[in-house]
Order: sequence, then C-alpha cells, then structure tokens
Amino acid sequence: MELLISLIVGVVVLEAYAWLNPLCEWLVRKAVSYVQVEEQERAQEEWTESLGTLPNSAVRLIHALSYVASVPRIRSDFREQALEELDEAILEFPKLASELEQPWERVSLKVIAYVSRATNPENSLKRSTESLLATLIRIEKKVRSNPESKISAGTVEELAEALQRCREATGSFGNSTSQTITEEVNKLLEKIERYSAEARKIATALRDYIPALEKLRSSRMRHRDWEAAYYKISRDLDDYVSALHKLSEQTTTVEPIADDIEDDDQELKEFNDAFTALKVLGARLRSNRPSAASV
Amino acid sequence: MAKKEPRLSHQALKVLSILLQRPQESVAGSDILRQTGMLSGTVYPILMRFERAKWLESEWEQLEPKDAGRPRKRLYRLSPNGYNKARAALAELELPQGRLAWNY
Repeated sequence: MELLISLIVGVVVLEAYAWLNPLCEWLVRKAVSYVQVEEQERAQEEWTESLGTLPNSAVRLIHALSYVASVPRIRSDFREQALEELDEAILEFPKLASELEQPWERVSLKVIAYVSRATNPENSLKRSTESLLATLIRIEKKVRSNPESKISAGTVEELAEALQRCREATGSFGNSTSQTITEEVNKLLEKIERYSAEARKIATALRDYIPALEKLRSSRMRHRDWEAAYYKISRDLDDYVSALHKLSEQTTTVEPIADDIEDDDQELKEFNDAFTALKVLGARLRSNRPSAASV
Repeated sequence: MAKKEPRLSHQALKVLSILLQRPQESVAGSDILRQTGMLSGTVYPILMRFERAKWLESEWEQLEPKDAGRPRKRLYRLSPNGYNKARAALAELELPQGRLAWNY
C-alpha cells in the first residue's frame, strides 16, 4: 500500500513538474494581457526571454507569479504618468494655441496694411502730403522765431524729397490693383492666408480638447476603458502636434518672399519677429513633443 | 512644467547602482535579475518606470531569434540625464556609486 501511495505521489509530482513550464508561460501571458496595450508585445518577448535564463522550473514559477503580482504596480505607474501628462496638456495647450495664433495675427495685419497701401494711392498721397506739411511747418516756425535764419541744405533736400513723394503718389492714381500688387506677392498672400487659417484651426482644436482632457482626468471608468480613452486622446493630440510642427516648418517657405513686400525697416523687423516666434514654437515642439509612443 | 521624477525605492536604487557600475554598457533585464537577486516582477516595472522618465534608454539586442534559438534581449543603458540623476540620487544617500550599503 505504501509503495503504491509513494508511486502515485511520485507520478503526480513528476507530472506537476512537467506542467510547470506551460503554467509559467500561461502566467506570463496572463500578466502581459493586463499590461497597457502598447507595452504588451514588448513585455511578452522580454519577460519570456528573462524566464528562459532562470535555472529551473520551480524558480521560473516563482518569477512568473511575480509578474502577475507586479501588474497592479505597472498599471498604477502608467496611470500616474498619464495623469501627469494630462495635467501638463491642460496647462500647456491654451498657451500653445495663443502662441500659435499671435504671430499669424501679426503677419495677417501686416499683409492687410500692405494691401491697403498698395491698392489705395490716396492713402499714399495723404501720407506724403502730411509729411510735406510737417516739414513746411517746421521751416515756418524756425523762420518766425529768427527771421534772419537761413534754410539749411538738408532742409531743402528734405523738402524736395517730400515733394517727390507727393508727385509719385499722384502718379499712381489710375494704376490698377493688378499692376500694383505683383503676382508673386499675391501668391505670398494666399500662402499666408492658408497657413493662418490652418494655425487657427489647430489652435481652436487644441482649446476644444481641454474639456475632454479634464473629463478624462477626473473619470472613474475601468482601467482598460480609461487606458483606451487615454490612448485615443493621446494619438489625436500627437496628430495635432505633428500638424503644428509641419506648419511651423512650412513658414520658412514664406519668409524669403515676405521680404519683398516690406517697405521700411520697422515693418521688416515686425515681420521677422512674427516668423521668429513661429520658429521658436516649432523648435520647442520638436524637443518637447508629447507623444503617445512614449507612454 | 517639470516632470515628476520616478520613485526611488530601495529596489530602484539597487537597479540604478547596477547600471552605474558600467554606464557605457547596455545591460539586459535578466542580467540585472541575476546581479541583484530580485524577482522579475520587481525589476521590470522599475525599468519601465525609469525608461518612461527618460532616465534609461533601451533597444532590442541585434540578433535573429530564429537563428539564436531564443527571444531577443532588451538592453538598457542610462541616458546622459539619467546618469547624472542616478549619481545624484546615490550621492544623496552618501553611498559610493556602484556599491550600495547592502553590497558590503
């Protein structure tokens, strides 16, 4: 009888030992299935490799069980990091949106001012006349205060320039808009308009995303559903950031032509400032891009 | 906004000390298990956490699993930022890098 019992126990132990490896594999698969979706493939390969390096089945079983036990910790780490990213996005996105809009607004205003000047010679004449009048008033004041004073060569030159500008402005009456605004500038205006519309669209989308982020932030849905919702939002945001990045790079194609429509240093500086702001934004996005892949 | 740093538990510091021993070299998770004697379920979540925090960089071993007859290893290495932070964390505990108190 004792012999029979020990025989049965021996067979059971041997059989159980033979089943340890499949059991370990099953435990790893089970643990991996609870890890966040984007990490599963990697965890499966890495954890299986790691189990394979252990000396025997009993040790492998202990390690396989430890994988299962580690799942809540992995999940809580993921949740903690995801919440942190959401917090960051909630704070960053309105700022990013306005940073994106501001330079384009400035560029658009410059373009509107340019078009207004180019298509309206009356404005140009008005400005030139005002300048001429200002010079004359200055001379008059000088002469009144000192009737003996002489008009300097510089003042005469200034006066001649103001008159010349008036003459040019008068000459532009009758010119058609198509003659004044060149084809190249027209192309530039179209581009700026297109980029500006795109920038506004992205900025609006970013702002519209804030309620969804806040809702997800405070949501108490099941972990798997929460994770899926997080990944969806994260991928959408990644797409927006890519679009922003692309847009900031596209502006470099506008910049060289933009110089053509500048007519004074101050305007050129403002234009350049607007483009520099976009470039800085682009560089920041490149280096600090929130990414679903990093989660 | 500054990112929160990863938790530095006793086990996490132990993992960092292993990686700091040869910061130029990549180490597989299974090698860390062997050197620390910790369980897989402890080491891998720590590695994942440090990698997400960008303290670690990782890549797959360059080999064909079919030819090698085993799965590829995932190799970990401290990033430049991670190296500085790991050194600072261990220095804060006033322990020599690469040798923690429990190794004495």
